[in-house]
Parts: sequence; C-alpha cells; structure tokens
Amino acid sequence: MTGFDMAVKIKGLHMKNPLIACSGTYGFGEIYRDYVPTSAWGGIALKTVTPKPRAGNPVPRLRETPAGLLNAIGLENPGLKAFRQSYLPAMDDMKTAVIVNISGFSVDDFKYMASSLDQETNIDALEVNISCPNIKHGGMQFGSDPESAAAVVRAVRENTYLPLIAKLSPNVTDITVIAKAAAGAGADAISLINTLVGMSIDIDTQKPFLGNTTGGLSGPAVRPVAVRMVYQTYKEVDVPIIGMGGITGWQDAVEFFLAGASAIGIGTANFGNPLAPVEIAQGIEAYALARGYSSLADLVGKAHSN
Amino acid sequence: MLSQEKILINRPMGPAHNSQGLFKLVLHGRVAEEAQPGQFVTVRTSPSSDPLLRRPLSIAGIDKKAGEITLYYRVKGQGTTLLARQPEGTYLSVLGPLGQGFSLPAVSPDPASRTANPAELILAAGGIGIFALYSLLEYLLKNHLTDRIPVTVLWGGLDKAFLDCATTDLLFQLPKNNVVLCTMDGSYGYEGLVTEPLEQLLSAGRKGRETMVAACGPNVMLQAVTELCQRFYVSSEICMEEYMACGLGACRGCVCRLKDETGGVKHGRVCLEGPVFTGEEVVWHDRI
Ligand SMILES: Cc1cc2nc3c(=O)[nH]c(=O)nc-3n(C[C@H](O)[C@H](O)[C@H](O)COP(=O)(O)OP(=O)(O)OC[C@H]3O[C@@H](n4cnc5c(N)ncnc54)[C@H](O)[C@@H]3O)c2cc1C
Ligand SMILES: Cc1cc2nc3c(=O)[nH]c(=O)nc-3n(C[C@H](O)[C@H](O)[C@H](O)COP(=O)(O)O)c2cc1C
Repeated sequence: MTGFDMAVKIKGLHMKNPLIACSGTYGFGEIYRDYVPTSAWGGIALKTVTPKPRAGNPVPRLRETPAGLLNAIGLENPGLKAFRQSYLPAMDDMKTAVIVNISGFSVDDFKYMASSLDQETNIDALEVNISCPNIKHGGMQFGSDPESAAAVVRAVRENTYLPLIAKLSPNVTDITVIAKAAAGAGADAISLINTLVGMSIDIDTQKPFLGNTTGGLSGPAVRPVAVRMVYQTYKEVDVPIIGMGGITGWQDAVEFFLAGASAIGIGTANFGNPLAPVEIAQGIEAYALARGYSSLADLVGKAHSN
Repeated sequence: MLSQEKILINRPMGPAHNSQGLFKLVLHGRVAEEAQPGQFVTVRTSPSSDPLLRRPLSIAGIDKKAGEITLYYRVKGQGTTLLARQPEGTYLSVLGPLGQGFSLPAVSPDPASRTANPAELILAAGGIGIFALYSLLEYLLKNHLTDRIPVTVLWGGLDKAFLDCATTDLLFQLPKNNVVLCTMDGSYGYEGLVTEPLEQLLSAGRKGRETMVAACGPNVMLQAVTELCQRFYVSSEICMEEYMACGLGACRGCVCRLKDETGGVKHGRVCLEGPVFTGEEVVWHDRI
C-alpha cells in the first residue's frame, strides 16, 4: 500500500511510474538488466534508430567535464531492418513501456520509419529525435526551426497511431516556439532536453579533444538549463512534457515536476549509478507522501502557481 | 555485478621515497568470485556527481578463496586523486568484473581437445599496461603452468624508477632470463621499446611454433606488437583502452575497429567485446 499513485498516462502511453531511461544511454534495454529489472522503469527510450545502419563518429567519443559529459557517438545504430529483426522481438518481455526513438535525414526518412513501425505490437510510443547535435545533416537541423520541426512531426503523425513524443534540442533561441510548432503538428508529448552543443580542447595536443570536434553536453552541468526550458515550455504548450537533463537524485526529479514535467528521463546518471531509477522512484514517493499528495499530477507545474 | 567492496589496502606502491604516484588497492567482496585475468572493474571515486563517471581499472590480481581482487592505479586526475584518499576499511562501489579477458591455457589440457595449450607464452607490456598482465601471470604461476609452458615477460617503462615501483613479486617467480626489461632512457635493461626484444625473440626460430603473445600498453605499442606477430605468424591477444562512460556496452562510447566476417570493418566495444581482442581482428589504419 503506497497511498501515492505514480502512474502516468500520456495518450496511449501508460507507464507505471514517471521514470524513463533516456535514449542513447540504455542501449536497447538489454544492457542494464543484470543490475536493475527493466520493470523498475515506467518506460525505456531505446537508442535512436535510423533507416540505414550508421557507424557513428571517430573516437574519442566521450569527454568528461565538471559534473558533465560531452558525447559525440554519432547515432551509431544497426539500422531499421536489423533493429526489427534482431532487437524488436525481445521487446515482448521488457515489462515496461518501450519507446522507440527514431531519426533520419529527410522528412521522407521519418515518414518511412513511422509507417514501418506503426504496426508493431510491442512498441508503446515513438520518440522523434529532431535534436541530435552529433551528425552533420538532419538531426538537430530539424529541431532548430519551427517549420521543419512541424514538418517532421506532421509526417510521423500522418503515418502512425502510436503515441508520438517530439524530442527537442536546447540549442535554439526560443524553445517555446519549437515546442508550440511540434505540439501543433500533432505531438502527444514533448521531451526536453537533448544535449547542449559543447566542446573541449586538449591542452597537450592543442587540438579538439573529441573525434567529432564538438559534442553534446549532458549530466548535472546542464540541469538548470533543462529546468528553465521545461518551465518556459509548460507555460506555452498544453501537451505533457517529459523533462530530462542531469537528473541524478530524486530531488532533481521533483524539481522537474514542479517546473511542469509530467514524466522525467534519466540518462547519464545511470553510468555512475545503475540503481538510480530505483533510488529516485523511492525518493519521489517519500517526498509526495510526506506532503500528503495522492498523485503525481498534484506536483506537476506547482512552481507556476506560487 | 554491482558490489560494495571493502578496501583492505590502498597504499602507494614501491619504496616510500619513490611511489611514482602508483597505488595498490586490494578489495574484499563478491567481484573476485567471477573475475578472470584481463577483465576490469569500474569504481565510483565519489558519492557526488563530480566526477560523474566511474573509473575503469584492470583486475591485476584475483584471490577467489579470500574473495579479494587487487588493482593498481596511477594517480592521474580528479578521480584517481580521490581514490587515493579513500581510507582502508571503508567501502567502494565496484561494478564488475567487466568485459572479456585473455584466453587461458587449460590447467589440465584435454588431449582430445583440438585447442591445445600454446607451446610458449610471451607477455609484452608497456608502462602501466603491466597491471592487466599481472592477472594472467598470476594465473599461470598459481596453476603451475609456468612449469610446462615457457613464459617470458617483456616490459618497457620510462625509466628504472618507474619499473622499480610498478614491479611486484610475481616477476621474481619467473626464471631471471625470462624477464626482459626495457627503459626509454636506458637507465635499466634494454634502451628502447619492448618491440625490439620482441622482434628478437620471435625471429629466433619461433616462426610457426605455437607461440602466443599477450600484450597491454599504449595503442602505438599494441599496433607494433600485432604487426610483428602477424609477420612471424604468431597469434596475439591485446588488451585495449578507450574512454568509456557506462562500461557495460550501452552508450557505444568506447568503440574500436574490427574486421568483420565479410572483409569489411565493424565496431567492437572495448568495454563489452573487449578489452582483450585478438591481434588479428583489430583494424589499426584510418581510425574511425
Ligand atoms: C579497460 C581499462 C583498464 C584500465 N586499467 C587501468 C589500471 O589498471 N591502472 C591504471 O592506473 N589505469 C587504468 N586505466 C586508465 C584509467 O581508467 C584512467 O587513468 C583513469 O580513469 C583516470 O581518471 P582520473 O579522473 O584520475 O583522470 P582524468 O584524466 O581527470 O580523467 C578524465 C576522464 O578521462 C577518462 N580517462 C583518463 N585517462 C583514461 C585512459 N587512459 N583510458 C580511459 N579513460 C581515461 C577518465 O575515466 C575520466 O572519465 C584503464 C582504462 C581502461 C579503459
Ligand atoms: C552517450 C549518450 C548518447 C545519447 N544518445 C542519444 C540518442 O541516440 N538519441 C537521443 O534522442 N538522445 C541521446 N542522448 C541524449 C539523452 O537521451 C538525454 O536527452 C540527455 O543526455 C540529457 O539527459 P541526462 O543529463 O540525464 O543524460 C544521448 C546522451 C548520451 C550521454
């Protein structure tokens, strides 16, 4: 008996709790199973899949920074065909909501991905990645401009009945403009934020540290930026927000709910502490119970009413 | 596994006046049960999120009976500096054993088996690469395989002070002639790289013998070692290093290039498919 309802419903996406493993940090859900049951999560967002296989960027692909991590993986993935053959069948026994994260290099790519996956029965939602900073074309470009963001979201919307989450890039002047465009084009929810473009220079070699020169910053270093973007977006759009960026403890998660997130993503924190989802879920519940809340909805957006 | 391991020893290696920033760390817990030579662990050096990531360290010694693993590390930056301050008797969060280790000669070889033990083993190490090879050497000595298989260690370091400090008792258990030391500055042993004595060994009539080379060190050295081995038709296993985040295969940060079945190139994750790869499968040219 908990007395506190952790369940979250975003259109057809039903999750037992608001915790989602962030895309790209959790493989296809298979890796962490030895450490945490997948059922600890409300949902798992799989590594981005693109129409064709991608080899990704040159190494080094990672650079640790103060309370942060720069990555430039470059969307390495086996491509749609191999994903469906080798990984999708295993999603049957994930015991959590399976969110397939898709990306592409043209509006047609997104259309193709959406229509190909629409009929799959073991997928609970699609997350549309228009925010990857580590690829030359496509990716973040679609998320940097309201018209192209809307065009991609609309193309996916027209080709699937699955719940549709648009994952936005923080590397824009005004996040609310993009969020409104995505919601207007039919997104059921918005994920905020993908990584912030950054770079690091090796003072010994005097060259950029990452093989890709620039990378995406994640981890606690970006959290205040992410909280601000969730807060601003909550004011402007009506669809639920999935907040992410540097969440490592339950306090951070609560901060995102207060800013307006209906669910939260945990990415980089898994690397240091694979038990993060378990600890964070317990902390959220204890906080809510101590304050006499009966459901998560009581918390969402509370920072706006004061 | 994710384990809280008790720190039994966490002290500078070598003589007090010459620790070279090298530390010995002995941990007691469950990781030893499953640990294999060549595998590694990742340790959390701080309970806070700075530093954020775990630090990968090779398993250098395994005592399954006592439930102990030994790691050796060089204090480099923030993470290892914090690690060096962890008091003995406290607990450390350890993830592991991780990755694939070296293939091990069988203790009692099955005569019917087609995979015979190598006729001879050469362990080639550059710098602190010796730490990963200590676990293999320990296995060979503990199981008295060194009585049956000639084992030679080739180890190169910057200077004598480094070698003095990073050495352990294991090396003294081999016949003296089977340990070949090199220094870059000539302050001890051969002056130069380990690849020079390796080439001499391989060219001295070993061609075609069932010699096996196991190596760990900087990438340039590993590349030179595998190229030499291929030239002499000798098989090799190399223990690689790359920047990693999850250490489990999820993030695809630590990839290296491998030959695939069709003659093309594929990626291997150093943390999951490695850190030990065969010298034959690694593709060195044009880094990805
Ligand atoms: C499989 C594997 C086994 C290793 N075994 C040992 C060992 O037995 N003994 C030992 O002393 N060192 C070993 N290393 C290197 C060791 O992990 C780094 O020296 C250590 O992480 C440095 O952390 P730091 O915070 O002190 O240094 P910093 O330079 O401040 O670290 C910054 C970041 O870079 C990473 N990093 C720095 N150097 C390396 C490196 N050489 N390889 C990979 N990541 C690095 C760190 O993990 C951290 O994320 C191993 C590395 C790998 C990948
Ligand atoms: C190593 C790594 C790989 C990532 N790969 C992807 C990806 O493939 N697709 C995607 O939409 N986001 C990707 N991200 C971004 C995360 O999903 C998340 O939005 C971001 O890291 C912020 O959350 P965090 O600070 O909790 O990690 C990746 C992040 C990291 C650290």
